[in-house]
Amino acid sequence: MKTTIKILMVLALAIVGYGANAQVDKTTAQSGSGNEVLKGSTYKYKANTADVNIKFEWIVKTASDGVVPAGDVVVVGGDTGTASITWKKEGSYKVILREYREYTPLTCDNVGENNFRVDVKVPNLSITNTNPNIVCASDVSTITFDIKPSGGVEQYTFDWEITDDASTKYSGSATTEGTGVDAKYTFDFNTTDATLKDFKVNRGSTVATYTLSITNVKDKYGVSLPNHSIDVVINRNPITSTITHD
Amino acid sequence: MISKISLMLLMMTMSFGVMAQSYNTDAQTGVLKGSTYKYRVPLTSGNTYTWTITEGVTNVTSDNAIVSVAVTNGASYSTIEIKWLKAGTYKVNLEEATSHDCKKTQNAFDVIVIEPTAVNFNVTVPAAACANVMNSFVVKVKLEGVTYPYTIEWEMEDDNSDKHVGTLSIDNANETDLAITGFDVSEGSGEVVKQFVITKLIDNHGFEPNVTKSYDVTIYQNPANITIQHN
Repeated sequence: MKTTIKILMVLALAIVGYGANAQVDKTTAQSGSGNEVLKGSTYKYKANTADVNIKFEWIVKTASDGVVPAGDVVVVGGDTGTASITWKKEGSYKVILREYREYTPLTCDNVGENNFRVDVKVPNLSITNTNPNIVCASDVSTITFDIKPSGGVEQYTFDWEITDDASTKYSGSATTEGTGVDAKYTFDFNTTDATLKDFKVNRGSTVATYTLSITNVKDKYGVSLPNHSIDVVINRNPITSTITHD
Repeated sequence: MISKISLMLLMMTMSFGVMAQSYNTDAQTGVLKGSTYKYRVPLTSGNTYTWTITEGVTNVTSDNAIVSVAVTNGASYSTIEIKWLKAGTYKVNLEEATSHDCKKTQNAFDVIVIEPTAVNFNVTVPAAACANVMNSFVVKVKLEGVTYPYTIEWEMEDDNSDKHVGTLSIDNANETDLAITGFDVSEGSGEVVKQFVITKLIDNHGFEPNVTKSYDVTIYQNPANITIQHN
């Protein structure tokens, strides 16, 4: 009679995920529920255990335990402690990690299991000018934009371009200063080394609206996000007038 | 009674006053104390205009009797009218703000106000002549030591107690003719002396030297009508 060694599985085994391009510890973000990733991104996950005698099986189901259509999610890995999962379609999923002793059939009832939920979002950004007020041209110092992604938790890189009233184009590459929904970027108009320090706003009595183009937006996992454009609105200062007398 | 000629002269003077409202950027280094000038900039609808006057770093206002000001914002211009009451060196300053309260301090305009110098009159009245000749005559007026144009107000009363009054605009340093017509002198065998009086002198900017000048005009009376009798 084959001896079945019942093993008390560590059901609370944590799962650590990290990005494909950077060895970022995803323990916190990916070990609970409600995690968001962007469609098209690839994450690596690993079982947080030092036990070498455990084999693993990585399974992805829909959040409601349904079958995931072929091609929607690609899981590379298997019986090792790590898996690479590429999220190819938006939706809510459940990542299941089954673990068993090497000499225990998968069918044994002492298979341990842990799972967590992943929400796959269509890549998108919401960019908002967070200036409290539209300032006068003479007072423009910095303009900050909140960059709120639809998913993901990392920083974003992007290229930007804006043209002033002298038809001079200013451009640059930037990285958000925060992560996830806290991501933001501040454009500096008035320090001596600022790219935008010479930004020209003609005088007048109306507001000036400039289009800030944001392109080539990518997260740390190489997921491209849509291009954006947002209005930068600056109040003009009055034109120069000459006092005359009769 | 004001003669027709005098009225005509008055109307011409009024017309001249309107035409004189041209504006320029010339520096003002010799504004006569007591003069009134207007300063203006093109107005942008919706903007606000704050005019101030400074002497050095001190704000000058009507309250300290150095200037008297009135600001008007018309359809096309924001204008400040300043009567300079004290000699000094001033700046007319303007801050313009948009409806969004974006501001621009316009370049100040420098004004130097000086004490007025004496005005020299050179008035030539016609030589004495008979009344029938002097019914219409010309007075020649010349002003020296002033900045033109000037307007004088004058009066002269004839023997019918008709007070001829009028204004005369003097635009340059040349003699300017003032024609007086319908001047009645009673008949007799002697001569009468009438006064041509300049009652007021005022320049185009309201500078008004306090002068009254009187010039005698001698007119010989014509004989009275007599009736020819026959035997």
